[in-house]
Amino acid sequence: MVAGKGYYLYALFVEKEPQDFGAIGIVGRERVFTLHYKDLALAVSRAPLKKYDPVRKSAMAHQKVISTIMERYDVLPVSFGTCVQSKQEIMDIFANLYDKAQSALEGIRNKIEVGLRVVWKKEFFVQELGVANRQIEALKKKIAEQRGAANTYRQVLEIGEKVQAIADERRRHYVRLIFDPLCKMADDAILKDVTSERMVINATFLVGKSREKEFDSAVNDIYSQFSEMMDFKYTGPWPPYSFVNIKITGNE
Amino acid sequence: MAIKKDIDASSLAEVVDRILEKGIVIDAFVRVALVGIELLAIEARVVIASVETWLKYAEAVGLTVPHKGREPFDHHREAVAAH
Repeated sequence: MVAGKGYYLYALFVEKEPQDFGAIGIVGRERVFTLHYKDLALAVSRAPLKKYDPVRKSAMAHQKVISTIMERYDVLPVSFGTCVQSKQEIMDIFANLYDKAQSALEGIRNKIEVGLRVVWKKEFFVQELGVANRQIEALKKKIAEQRGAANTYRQVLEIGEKVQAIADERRRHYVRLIFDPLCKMADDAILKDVTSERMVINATFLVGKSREKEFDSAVNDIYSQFSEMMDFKYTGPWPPYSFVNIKITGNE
Repeated sequence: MAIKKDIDASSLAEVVDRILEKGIVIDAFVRVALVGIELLAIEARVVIASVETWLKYAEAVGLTVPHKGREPFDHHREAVAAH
């Protein structure tokens, strides 16, 4: 039944001929196909018009569709959960988007996104804290001796605050050693907020396909310097999600 | 040992971080204006959030807060009040 259904949008790319990417849609494995405007194509599938939650299944399906399209095209990914009611709305969006899309496509042509997360190994995190470590050990002992003393909670907070400040200072040090050299090889890069206490670097890079191998080996060179103290998680090639930033209003 | 980049091994967090409010963002829906209320709530949360952050950092070096039959919330309230 098609009534009440809309279109879920995945990605925009240069293509004049209708394309079919198979039954890989985010809802009910609907067929992913293209709608066209001038020289651009938008990959869509039929899907209910509703709010989509980024739960594992949906988020991964959305990602997978865009990665599949990226195997053949340079793509401008559409943000997760975007759905519209009619083809007419899609044509309005196309018209609204066209100029911005041209320059955005220029910016990501023949480029991929790669992600790098670096995390201190547990024992090395404590080592990084240097002299503060003595205070931590002393406080640990004190807590063990006089459980639940009135001011212990505040002391733990103070230590926590200090640990955070030291960790931030050490991160800045490693940004110079790890992020900066990679940044120089990339077309663009974003240093993102860390998402856990032991995370040193959370970064994402836009890399030319012609330099992909070179970039991989640069990451490996850096990894070999730090592999004893840190774990590296290197992901990609991603569609250039973090380096496309177009905002439009649907009914402008 | 060399590391190879991979997408299939990426966590949900890494995927969600990339696909939400990134790329082409089409604001097709009318959003109810609750901005004023949200701002108030955020301000109140900032202080509590930093207390939580410090606790997590303390925990990351093996320090845990001793409990003595008190709810963590009482600790928070006290710490926020003392802030």
